[in-house]
Amino acid sequence: MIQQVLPQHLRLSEAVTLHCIPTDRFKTARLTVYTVAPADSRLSPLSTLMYGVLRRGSEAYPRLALINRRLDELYGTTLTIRNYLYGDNQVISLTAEMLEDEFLPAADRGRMDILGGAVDLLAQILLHPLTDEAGLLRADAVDKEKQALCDSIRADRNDTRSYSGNRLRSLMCEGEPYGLSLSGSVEMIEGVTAAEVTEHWRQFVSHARCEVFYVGRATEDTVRDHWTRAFADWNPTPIDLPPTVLHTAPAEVSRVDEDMPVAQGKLCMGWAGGFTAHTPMSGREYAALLVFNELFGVMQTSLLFRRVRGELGLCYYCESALDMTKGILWVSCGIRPDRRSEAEDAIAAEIRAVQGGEVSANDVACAKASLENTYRQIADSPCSMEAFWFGRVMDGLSDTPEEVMTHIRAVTDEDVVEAARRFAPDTVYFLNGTRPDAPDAEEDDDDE
Amino acid sequence: MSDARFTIHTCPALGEVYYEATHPSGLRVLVCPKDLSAYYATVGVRYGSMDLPDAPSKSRQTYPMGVAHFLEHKLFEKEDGGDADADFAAIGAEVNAFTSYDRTAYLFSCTDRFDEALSHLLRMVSDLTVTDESVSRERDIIAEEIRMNADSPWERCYAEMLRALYHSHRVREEICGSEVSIGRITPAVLRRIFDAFYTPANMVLAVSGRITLEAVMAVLDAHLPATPSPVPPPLRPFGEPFAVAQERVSVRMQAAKPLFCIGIKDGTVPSDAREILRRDLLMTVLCEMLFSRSGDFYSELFESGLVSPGMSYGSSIGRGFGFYALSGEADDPDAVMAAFRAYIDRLHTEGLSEEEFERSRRILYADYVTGFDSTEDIASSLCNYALEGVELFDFLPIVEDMTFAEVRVLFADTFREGQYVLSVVEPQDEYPNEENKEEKEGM
Repeated sequence: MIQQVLPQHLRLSEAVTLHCIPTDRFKTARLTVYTVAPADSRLSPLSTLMYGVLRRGSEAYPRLALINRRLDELYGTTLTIRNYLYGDNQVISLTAEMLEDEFLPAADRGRMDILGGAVDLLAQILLHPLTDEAGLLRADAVDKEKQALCDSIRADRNDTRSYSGNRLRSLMCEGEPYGLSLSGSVEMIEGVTAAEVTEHWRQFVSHARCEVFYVGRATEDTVRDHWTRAFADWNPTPIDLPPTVLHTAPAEVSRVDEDMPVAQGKLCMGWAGGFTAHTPMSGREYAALLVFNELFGVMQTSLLFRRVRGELGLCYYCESALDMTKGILWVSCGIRPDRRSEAEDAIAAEIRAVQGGEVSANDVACAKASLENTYRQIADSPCSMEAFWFGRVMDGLSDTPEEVMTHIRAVTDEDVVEAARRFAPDTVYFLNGTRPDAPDAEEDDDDE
Repeated sequence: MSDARFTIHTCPALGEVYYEATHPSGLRVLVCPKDLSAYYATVGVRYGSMDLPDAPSKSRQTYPMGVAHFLEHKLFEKEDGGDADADFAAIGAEVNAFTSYDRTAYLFSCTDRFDEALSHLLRMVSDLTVTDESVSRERDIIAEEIRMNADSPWERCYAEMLRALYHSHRVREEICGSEVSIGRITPAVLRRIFDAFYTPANMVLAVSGRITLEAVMAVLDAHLPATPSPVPPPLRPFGEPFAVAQERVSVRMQAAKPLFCIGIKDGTVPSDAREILRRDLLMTVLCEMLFSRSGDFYSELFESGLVSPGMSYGSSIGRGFGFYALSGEADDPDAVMAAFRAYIDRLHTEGLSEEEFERSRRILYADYVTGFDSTEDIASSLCNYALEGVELFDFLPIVEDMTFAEVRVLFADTFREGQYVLSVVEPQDEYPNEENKEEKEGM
């Protein structure tokens, strides 16, 4: 087995921790700055907007094209922003992926400091935005980003699969931070001013919680030195992250149907598990939840795949997902609108069967093998190592992938049934496709 | 090993090596040892959605669109009625497959019990079991896949662009076929294609992980014939006019904002494999020079607000086709098209920038090197290069000796009137009373 590399944690300031995973296994290195804040109906969309504005230009690179050009100079370094909910928190990550120096063409090797350049660029984007004479973030950049964000909110409907999943989440967790939209609404974004975004940025600079991850060949000292040089002025006060709210299922399942003029309906169902990342739980109980979800709707021969697709032929995809931070189980599938009840009944029957004790030893063994396969591969990419350890940091856990695998191996059939029994049906959302026919099929598609 | 003859390919600059041999059955095998947890193996079959067996026109059979993809689905069904998925799941391996224009690929990843997983993969591509009943059930599943794709405005926009770029080349058809065409696919049609093209001589196996060529060959010996397999029939050649079929097409469907996809047709695609690879890399560099997010064109459109952030671009080349595509969201797609024409005209007058050429070449290099960090990327690249008749390490020498002059010629030959298509998706009213059928322009 390939040895997993453990991170070294280094407190750089009260609010900033550096996690270094030293490895020479890859030709690319990865540096990510995660900022975490409690999800909030107004502040989260402001953060989303703020990152968009910051990415558009800085003091040293006043236009988007110049930031991109700098990335190209750093041998095609890429910069990715991700913005997502982690339990009841908003996480925004800024990632630079870069070539390791020894894999540059011979003529360029040793001639540029790619890591140093990437750290400088991240500092430029986060701490040195372009401002006008009054010290405000430039109004034209804010206006364009507002427009872009509003377009992107409206465009959510273009992808009915993710749109319906988000609708279920917001319906199920209405009133909780987890039910929020990180982009806000068009009405809210349209009303934001440059002064507000600037104030929000100032708050961010003075109050933050920041986890920095590095995976690559540079030593911890080198990464720290780059960071302290580029981020020398940054010493924010740490913000508290309140624990994720425990979500419980309503007495009666809530059902919402909505129409959209598309061909395929999307059925999304949610169950509440009655736990969060901070609920005390043994390693084996934690692993049993993973095994249950895997066999229910993740692995290729999952109960849902076999029954809803294989036997009933109702869909192309039918899958489950389990959010361990919030204790919520989701199922989604794309179906003909007139077969909605059949699909819903079949899905509900599968989980009820497991809860009633019907679980095959073979399915449990397959689910455990599939999870092991996944956990072993964490060591195979800088991205998955970073994601795994960021999750550990957020959840206050310290077990390694090997330790999680040990727990997974110990899970019994009974443990899986117990894990399934935690989940109570909560909300069913159906996006009803009202377009009667799929687009006209091209006739005469034979070769003759 | 059943055959001691093998070739070692090395790339000292990247410290990478892979081994190549041909199994007596005719299967070409490539193995790249890599010290990562995951093994990846992929079998590529030289038969995709656009391919048809060649035969004298009188004896030609009909092949509904979507056969290659349908066959891919059916190879998961086993002789005993079981599902190949289950064999892989039992050993913790993950299997998948996909169909593209000119190939079908079957692949798995695992971190343990590699030999068993490879045996399952070989069994899967060596045997077809179909009945009327199982074909009928699969039709329902594929119909849902087609409907899912049809609901995506981006997929529609791109698909319509291809239909406008090409007069007759089958790259213009949907890989999955249509709900009508899959209705005509029968067990007999599937069997005919399987027997003709699923032969070791028409396949490539590529593997990456903690494995040797010798170990892979030992598994092959246990599953494949020791004598040469039949060679596949020739593929029907494509005749395709130089210019595009239609310059503007639009559909109306559920979408938030108009989408556009600009296609640029390369009407002179070479036929030699190495020349195709060279052109592919030149096209990638040219595309990066013209449309990158650090370039003038994107900046102008982005800063002026003409397009939403996230315009994407790329190029594609294969047997008898080659094109560039540029897509995004814009309130006024025709204004984007006008800006595109003006930009290209300006470049024809002022010339391309050599600095941009060097910058783009670096990006291409970085993408290539990044691919060696994953056994999945390595195995799929090895397979793709082999199916195309070239070699993975051909890449660097071509990137090193490609010249600015070549890119200029390519630009001058391709980016001209008659080669452009604008495909547009117009948002339809939220809940139209009855008029919810799409409108096609000029079809």
